[in-house]
Amino acid sequence: MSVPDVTAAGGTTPAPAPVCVLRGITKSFGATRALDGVDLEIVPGRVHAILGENGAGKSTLMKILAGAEKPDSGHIELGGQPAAFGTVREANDAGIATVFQETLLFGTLDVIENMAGSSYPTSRGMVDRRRMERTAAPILRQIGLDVPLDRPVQELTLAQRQLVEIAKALLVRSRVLILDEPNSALQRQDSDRLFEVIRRLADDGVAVLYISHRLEEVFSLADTVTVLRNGKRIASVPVGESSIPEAIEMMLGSKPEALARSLPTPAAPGATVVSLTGVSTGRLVRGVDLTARAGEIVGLAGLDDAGPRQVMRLLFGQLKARSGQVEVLGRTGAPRSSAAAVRRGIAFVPSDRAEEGLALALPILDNVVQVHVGAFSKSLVVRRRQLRRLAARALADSGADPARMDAPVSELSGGNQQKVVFAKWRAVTPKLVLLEDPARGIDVGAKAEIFASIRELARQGCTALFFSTEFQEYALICDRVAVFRNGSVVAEMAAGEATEHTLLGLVNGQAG
Amino acid sequence: MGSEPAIGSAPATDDGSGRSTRGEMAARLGVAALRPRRLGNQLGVIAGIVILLAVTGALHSSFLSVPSLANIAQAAAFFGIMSLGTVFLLAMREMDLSVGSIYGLAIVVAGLLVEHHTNPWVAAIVGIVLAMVLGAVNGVIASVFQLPVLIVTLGTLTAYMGISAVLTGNTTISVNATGAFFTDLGGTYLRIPLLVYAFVVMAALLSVLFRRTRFGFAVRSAGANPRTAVLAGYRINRLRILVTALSGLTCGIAAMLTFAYFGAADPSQGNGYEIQVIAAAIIGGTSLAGGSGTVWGALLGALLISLISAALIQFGVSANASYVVTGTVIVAAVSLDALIRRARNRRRTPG
Repeated sequence: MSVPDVTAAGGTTPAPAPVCVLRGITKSFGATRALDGVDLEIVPGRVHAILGENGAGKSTLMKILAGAEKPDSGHIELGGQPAAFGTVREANDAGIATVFQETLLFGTLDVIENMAGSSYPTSRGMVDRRRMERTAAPILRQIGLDVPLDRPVQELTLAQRQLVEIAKALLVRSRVLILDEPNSALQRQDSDRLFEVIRRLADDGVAVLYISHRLEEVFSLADTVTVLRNGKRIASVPVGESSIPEAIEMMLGSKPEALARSLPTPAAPGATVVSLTGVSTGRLVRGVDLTARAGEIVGLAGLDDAGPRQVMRLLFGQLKARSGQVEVLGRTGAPRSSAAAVRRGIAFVPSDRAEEGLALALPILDNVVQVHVGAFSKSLVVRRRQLRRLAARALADSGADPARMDAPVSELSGGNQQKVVFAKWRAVTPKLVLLEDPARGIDVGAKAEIFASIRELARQGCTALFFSTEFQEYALICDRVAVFRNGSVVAEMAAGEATEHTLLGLVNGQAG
Repeated sequence: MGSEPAIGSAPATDDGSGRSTRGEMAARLGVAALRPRRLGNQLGVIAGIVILLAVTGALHSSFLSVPSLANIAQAAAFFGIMSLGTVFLLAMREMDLSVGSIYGLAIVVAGLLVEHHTNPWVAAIVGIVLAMVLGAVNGVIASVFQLPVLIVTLGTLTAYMGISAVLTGNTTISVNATGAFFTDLGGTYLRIPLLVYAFVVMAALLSVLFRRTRFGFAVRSAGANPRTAVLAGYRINRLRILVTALSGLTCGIAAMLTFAYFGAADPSQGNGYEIQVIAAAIIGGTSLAGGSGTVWGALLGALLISLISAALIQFGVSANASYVVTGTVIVAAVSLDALIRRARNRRRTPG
């Protein structure tokens, strides 16, 4: 990965005094010790990245600094003064602004109203919109967000919403800005712009605390890296003195074989399972030609609205084709509904786990057997014992722990939740799986298991279509990659050629 | 009993199957942890019933006589049978406000048919089918226009009531209430009205439907996250129509048993029932958040509501004032539900 022009800034000058110091921060939830005596120094003008697997304590540390959680012991100093924050508001007032992972915006309110939030300026008891717009304008310019101020944020793209969050955080003159995976849902070019914004803020003297799973990004953006493992600080090092493999080693505690591609010889291609000829849905899918054979993993690379997501939704009965020929699993025409798609043997792993992939309130077991019971089981009654066996097998196949199936799925980490989504589909042995960013926001270890699960499905003859917002994943998992731009396939290549560089060039309109 | 368990949790004690193997297996797998919560949802209602019985019985011993208790149970059954169907709706994040109007209209139509010399058994079947259709109409409208059933039934509540008024000219239809239909269905066995037996039997049947069948699983699944259910291949519109039809069916059955008991068709019968019907389900422990519910809880909830009115009458409080108490109990039950959910969320460890 290379992010030009943003790396040079920090590092070279001697470190100024830290604006914020954490000492011996400890926090437990029940029997789990989330943080164990963590020290941290946050320096103005620097981007400080926190790395760690899911459950290492990153989020808890951040929440404590943001005022959302109270530590059991340890203390915080801000600008040389001891500080303790009871609420996010208090931390905010002290100059610590946080952009949480899930955007906390009001969808029906417009940009200005969201930025103003509870501190809307008033005049004579009425909100003073003109004043608010004057305050907001320079900040929006600073971060390069150019949208009408009266547009409801639900009509903005994810990237734009993320920028509104940051603008909101900048409204209070923050000394410390905390960003929790701000770009986990962003496409590369949007991420790049976000990084420029972050870099510029740091140059203005803000101390940035940055949490991300994307190591390459961290190493191109941050000045200092702190690695947490099991609630303990393993190391804090300047970026220049460490490397990605070293960071992974520190995160995992042992050498990961995690994401090396285990290159199975692509099985002899089977019969054609998916065939699209000149398929259009209107604006977003325009004349797509695509084939996929049994046992093949085909990458659909592209930016967010370039077509891959839409092709998957089309094959899953959520979008209609206006023209062109669709053949899926030996039948002509795309399924008319998801119910029809599922019954045809198509599975869909959506990028939004919580909203589309799982019923968070239900136990793991109920989630795993959901498709089987709803669409395939012929029996009128629910046979618990049989379902438990089915679920145990599907969970084990997907690398999840089958012994915990009665716990609510919401208690699992992101990676384990995703394994439950896989188990739900593996329980019904699909013939075609549509994978929409299946490794989004999950840690290295879980990602490796998810990829192994995809490989295993393919080995059994299942076809997979794979989309990711992380371009290096295509070469790791796919047999072949089709590159989309503006709704059409512009190139196809074998996995070996699908380097991040090549894909990035192609989706952005430069010849590979 | 209790919050309807996931298919994997230990069988409830009321299932009668007594298969210890499953219970043991479930316990080994750590399901025991779920038990206190499940009992906890019901504990409040059971405690309320016991305390009310004890206190009122201590002061007025006649309150605990068989006729008095049978009377209370019967009063509960009139609307409680409909609460059993409402549990399915709530579990799917829906609510049917037209239950009382469907109930009233079914009684009116059956009454008119009998008045015009239709065999009462046939009239009852027509009434039940009609109630199912009226319920399904709610579901069809909600599905076609993608509206919450609650919104649709705000309208049909009034419309169905209006049809009853038009058909009868707002007067009670008295029929010649002789024959097996009225004496048997409206009868009393072992000093307890048939209505009460029907209530218990229906609770048992619907509880099994809710917890042990594919249909019940689908309802809970769809209620827990409708979007996920659609993407898991559920035909959610069809499911919604089935659930509203089921709710209509419970209205029809309650209506025909009421008709048999009174031997008359009062067009205002059922007006305002929706509040008690929904309240009984909520007091019984069915959450408004969807995805879970308890059919037996609705039965207990109906009993508690009926008991509160009876006790207040016993103490000389006017029937009107009993609305205040019932309303307060509903607010308490909903608040308790929210508290339990919040406590459960807090237990979860952030990563």
